[in-house]
Amino acid sequence: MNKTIEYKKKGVPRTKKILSKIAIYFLVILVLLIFFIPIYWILTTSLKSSADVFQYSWFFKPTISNYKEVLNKGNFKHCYMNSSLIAILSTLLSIIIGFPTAYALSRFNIKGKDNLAFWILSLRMIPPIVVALPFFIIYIKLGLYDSLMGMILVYVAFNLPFVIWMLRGFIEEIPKEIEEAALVDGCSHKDIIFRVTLPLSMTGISATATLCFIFIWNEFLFALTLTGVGRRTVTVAVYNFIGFTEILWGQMSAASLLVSIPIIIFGILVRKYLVSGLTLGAIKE
Amino acid sequence: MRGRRKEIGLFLGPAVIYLILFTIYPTIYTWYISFRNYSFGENFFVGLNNYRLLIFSDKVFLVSLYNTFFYVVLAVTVEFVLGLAIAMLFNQDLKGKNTALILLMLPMIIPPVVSALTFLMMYDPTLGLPSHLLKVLFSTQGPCWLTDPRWAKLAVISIDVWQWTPFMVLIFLAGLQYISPTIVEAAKVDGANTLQNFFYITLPLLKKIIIIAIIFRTMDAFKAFESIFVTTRGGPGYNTQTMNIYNYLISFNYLKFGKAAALSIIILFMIILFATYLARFLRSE
Repeated sequence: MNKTIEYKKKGVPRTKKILSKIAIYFLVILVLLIFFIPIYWILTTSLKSSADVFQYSWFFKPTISNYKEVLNKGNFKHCYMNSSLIAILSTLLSIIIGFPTAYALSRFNIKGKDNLAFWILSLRMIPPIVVALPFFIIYIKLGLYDSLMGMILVYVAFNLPFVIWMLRGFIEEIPKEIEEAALVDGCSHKDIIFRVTLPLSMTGISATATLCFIFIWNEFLFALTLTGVGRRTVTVAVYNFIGFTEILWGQMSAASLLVSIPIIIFGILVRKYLVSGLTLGAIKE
Repeated sequence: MRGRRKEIGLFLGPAVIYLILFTIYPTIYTWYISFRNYSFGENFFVGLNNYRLLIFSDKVFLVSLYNTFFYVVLAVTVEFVLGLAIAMLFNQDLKGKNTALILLMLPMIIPPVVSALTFLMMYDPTLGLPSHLLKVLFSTQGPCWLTDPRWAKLAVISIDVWQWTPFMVLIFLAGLQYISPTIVEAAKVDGANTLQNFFYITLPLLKKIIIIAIIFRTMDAFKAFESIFVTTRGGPGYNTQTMNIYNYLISFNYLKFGKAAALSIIILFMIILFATYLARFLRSE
């Protein structure tokens, strides 16, 4: 592609070409700066002592005291544990329930299959706020309020549509012929799923699971309304750094980063699937 | 035949039952309490009274409705325009493009609570960058972005724009890959200028992807919660109060469960209208 463009541009004076290149890089860097500055701001604030927070100087003595204080608050570590447990268990359960459904939706000949798939998709559009209240009332009645079980149940429900649609897309990418060959060789349906489909869709499953983990870890509204002190998650814990009288900016920034780091790592790992994940497979990269 | 039915039930059953129990049932329950005057201590049938009060005699509801549409339309429009522009900028051979894309991806994967808190800091009149820049460059005092009625709406929407423009960029970059450079070259040979190229080649070829991107963004912008709740909680006055925030406040601050449920059903109704359109569109593609 470059060759043709360079060939075309032979007539254009060299200086003009260089200038346009500089302009492009300048714009790219400007865009990146705008999107990165807020994150940079929170990074530096987290490393500033409380006296330095209100200073704009680019040079300051970095300190990890904010991180120490956040981690020494037993509460935060507890919330971190809660979030990890809730996110891991909900993701596992979503995949276990979602995989057979995804398999059936892509491989079986069922009447009304597409309608069922669209019904499942439409559930993803329900705004959490619409069901937060009934969940709250029902959970209080059933004693599920502020419980590990309650949070897992709600997160599985709200991530199943995503998991089913993603896995369905991945399974459809596996050539049917491989499964049919195994069937001819005398494998049972169960064998095919466990020995052929499952191993072949492992990449898809890991990508889906990672995205699912990210969604659950990041979730705020259900965590805010359905947990109390016992099963508070990290997102609510970070939010609680907004105090009634003052905001501890340094500690809040440190906590924000601690909450974001696993998500940033996971996000980079699955960045190839991010777009198709967020559009439920409607757009593939 | 019987065995096959059993098999289908085994594959689809768990997910379908789960989704009915945990998404359909709570929705029906919301519908049920929307006809009741339900709070701690009182619970009796009032018919359509909650709906009547909301629609005909609640000014805050109308303000929230307006704010919601303002938020969704402005945020999605700005994200679309910026996203397309940035995608076009990035759609060429650049050094360090992968790193740049990872940096650009960060705003949309970090927890929304963290982005909201980051901007709570950025828009702080003594602590944030915008006010600092105004002071240094123009030596004027910046406004209190989040508590000034003239700025609050835009400030809150800018958080959404910061978070989700990268989503548009990634989607459009994926789409631009499929536009073969030879078409553009051919048009250039035929004498089309850059602007004509953009409007008569790039835009029509991207049409499907643009529609998908806007649909998904609109759907999610309707769910926006953290960006407002964490920064302004709907204030100053009702300036940034969207239907989601209003719903949260009626449910968990004023504890008027019946009224909140009625509002939930109204929100849900609007989402269903939108989803029907979406399903029709996706099927036609």
